[in-house]
Amino acid sequence: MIPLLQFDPASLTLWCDTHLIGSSRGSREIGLALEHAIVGDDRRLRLLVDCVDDPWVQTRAANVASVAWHEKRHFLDFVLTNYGALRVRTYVEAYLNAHSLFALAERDKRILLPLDCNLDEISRELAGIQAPDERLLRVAQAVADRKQMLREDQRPIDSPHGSIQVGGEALLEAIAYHVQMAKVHRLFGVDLLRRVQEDHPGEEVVHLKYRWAWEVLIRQGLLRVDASDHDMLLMKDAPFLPLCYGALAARLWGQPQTRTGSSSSYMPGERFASLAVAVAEDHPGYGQASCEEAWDMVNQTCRRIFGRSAIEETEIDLEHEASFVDTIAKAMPGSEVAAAMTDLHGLRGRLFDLLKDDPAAVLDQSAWADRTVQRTQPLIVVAAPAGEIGEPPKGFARLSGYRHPDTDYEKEPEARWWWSALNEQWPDVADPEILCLRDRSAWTAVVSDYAPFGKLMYAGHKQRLMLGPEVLGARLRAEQAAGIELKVHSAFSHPRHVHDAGFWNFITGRDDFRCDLSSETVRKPEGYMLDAWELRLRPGLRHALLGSVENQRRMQFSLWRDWTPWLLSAEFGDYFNFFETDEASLSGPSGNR
Amino acid sequence: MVNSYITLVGPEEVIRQLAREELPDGVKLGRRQPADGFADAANAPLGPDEIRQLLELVSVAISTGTAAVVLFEKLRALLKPGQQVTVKDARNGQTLATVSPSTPAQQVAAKVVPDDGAGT
Repeated sequence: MIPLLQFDPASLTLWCDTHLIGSSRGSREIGLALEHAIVGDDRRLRLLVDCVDDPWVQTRAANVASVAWHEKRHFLDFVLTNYGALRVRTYVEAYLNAHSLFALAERDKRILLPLDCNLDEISRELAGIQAPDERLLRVAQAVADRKQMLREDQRPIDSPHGSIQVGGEALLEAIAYHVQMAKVHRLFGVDLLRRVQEDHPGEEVVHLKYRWAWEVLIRQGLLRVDASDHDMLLMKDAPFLPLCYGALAARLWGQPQTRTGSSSSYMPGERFASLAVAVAEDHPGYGQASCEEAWDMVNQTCRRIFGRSAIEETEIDLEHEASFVDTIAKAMPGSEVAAAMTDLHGLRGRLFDLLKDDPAAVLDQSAWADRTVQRTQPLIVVAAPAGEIGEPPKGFARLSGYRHPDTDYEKEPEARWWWSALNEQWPDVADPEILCLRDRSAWTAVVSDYAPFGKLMYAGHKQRLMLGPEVLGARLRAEQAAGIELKVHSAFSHPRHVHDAGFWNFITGRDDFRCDLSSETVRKPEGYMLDAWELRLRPGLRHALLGSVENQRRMQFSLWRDWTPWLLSAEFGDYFNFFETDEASLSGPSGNR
Repeated sequence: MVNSYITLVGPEEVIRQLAREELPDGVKLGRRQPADGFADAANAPLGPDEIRQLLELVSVAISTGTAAVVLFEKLRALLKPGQQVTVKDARNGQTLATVSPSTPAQQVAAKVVPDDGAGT
C-alpha cells in the first residue's frame, strides 16, 4: 500500500502525499476536497462534491475528505486519552535518550538499530560491537519492554470472522472509522456513504480492522440496530464512543491495578472486555441512552469495577504526565523536546476540560462532526516523495531535502530539492478556539529530527513510511554529526512492502500507466510496481541506469531524489529482478538537510 | 570454526518453543525479539494494512552442518500445517530458505552451512 494520508503518532502530524494526489484522476477536485476537509469548510466541500460530474472522482473526493476527518480524530484521541498519550510518550522517551546514546557508544563507535537488537549477543558480534555500555543496554531494554507492551496490546484474537485486534490501537481505529463514516453520512447522504464504504481495496480487512467493535457491542446488547435503510443497518450509536473512551482510560505509569477474574483496569483491550460485560449488567438500558447518559453510566461502572471513573483515571494520568513534563523541563532546559512536551501537556489539559465540560463535543459523533472536527487542527506535513526541485513555496518550512555541496543552483537547479515541508501559516496557533499544538518551532524540530530518530530506535528502516528519506536521512545526519555508525540490523533494513500495480490503478483511478523505463503504455491489470527501497537495494540496476544515459550526474540526482514507486511493464519487471540485492547499498547522500 | 549466521523469522509460538528446545553443540541461539518495530503511522481504510500475525525473530550462529541439520529437524517438528519460518542470511538479510513442516532439514542446512566436511 502507498499511504495517501497518514497520522504520525511520533510527531502528532498529518502527512499528505501531494504527488500521489497529483497522479490521480480528478486530482484538482480531490486536492480541493482534501483542503476543505482539513480547514473544516463543510459548505465548500459539499458544493465541490455536488458539482463533480465523474462519479469515480466524486466518490474519491468524498472519501479523501473523510480520511482527513479520520486522521484528525486520531490526533485528538492520541493527545487526550491515556492510551494515546502512552503511545506518544513512547517516542518522547526515545527523544530524551537520543543525544546521550552517542556518548555511550564511545568505545565501538557503533550502535545497532533497532536499539533492542543490542541486547542480542549474536547480533552485536555480527555488527562488530564488542562491549556495549551498560547504560546503552538499559535504554535498549526499555525499548524492548515498550515493544512487549505494544505487542500484547496488538495481539490478534480469533473471532468468527477471522483474526481481530481488540486493544488500544484497534479502538483508536474503530473510533476514527466511526466518526469518519458518520460525518460522510451527515454531509453527503446515504448514497455517497455507501459508495465511500465500497471505495477501498479490501472489504474483509476493513471489516476486521474498523468495524469489529460495533459487532462486539451489538452482540452484547450495548448498541441497538433498529432498522435498515437502503439495505444499510441503522445503528443507534450514541453509546459507542463513551464505552470506547472508558476502555482507553488505561491505568498506566506503573500504578497498582485493580484485577478480578473478569475485569482489569490496565490496558484498553482488557478494559474494553471488562466494560462490555459490566456495563451490560449495570445498565440494561445502555443501548438506548444518549451520549451524555452513556458516558455517566460508563464512569459509574468504571468506578465500581476499577475503583475509579474514566474521568478520575484520566485526571490521575494527567498528574503523572505533569510530573514527567516537569522532569524533562528541568533535565533539558530550553530544549525542543521539553518545549514540545509542555505544549502537548497544555493541549491535553484543554481537551480534558472540553471532555469534562461538554462530553458530547468529544463523544457524540454528530457534535464532533458539526463542531469539534473543524476546531481540531493538527500540523500538516506536505510530502513530495518524487522530490521537488528548488525550495518549498512561501509559507512552508523545509523539513527534509538535499542540497549538493559546492554547486551553483542557478546553473544546476536539479542539485537541490525538498521532500517534506511544514505549513507555517495553518493552523492559526494564536486562535484560542483552535485545538492545536502551538509551539511550531519546537514541533518542527520534532518532525524533522527527533521523530525520525525515535522511529529508527524502534524499527530501523522497517516501517510504513510515506517518505523513505525521512528515516534514512535522519540516520545519515546523526552519523555525520556524532561520528558514530548507526548500523541497521539486516532484518530491519528496509520496509517489507508488497506492492502491486493494481493498488496504483485503484488509488489513482487510472487504467494504464507509462513504464518508467521503456515509456510504453501498460494497461490494467498488467504491470509491475517497484518500491523505492527495492531500487536502492540493487546497486547493479542503478549502475545500469546510469550507464544508459549521457548526463550521468543528472541521472544520479534523479535517482537520489525520486522516492516514488517505479511503474514497469512485466518485461522490465523481470529485468529488475535480474539484479541482486545488497543491503549495504542503502547509504549515500539521500537525506542530507 | 567459522560460524554461519542466520536469522529465523516465524510465528511467535514457534520461535519461543525453539528457544526452549535442547539444541546440539554447534548451534547458538540469540535473544528472541519481535519482528515488528511498532513504529508505523496510523492508516485509514483507503489503504489499510492487513491484520498481521505476530512474528518473532532470533539470530542463530551455526558452526557445523550436522548441527544445522539437527536444528532444522527440530524446527520443522514444531511447525503446524500452514506455518512456516523464513531463514535469512543474518549478514545481509537475503532469504536463504523457507521451512515448512515438509521441508527436508538437510536441504535447508546445505543452504545455510557450506560443506565443512562434518558429515551432513
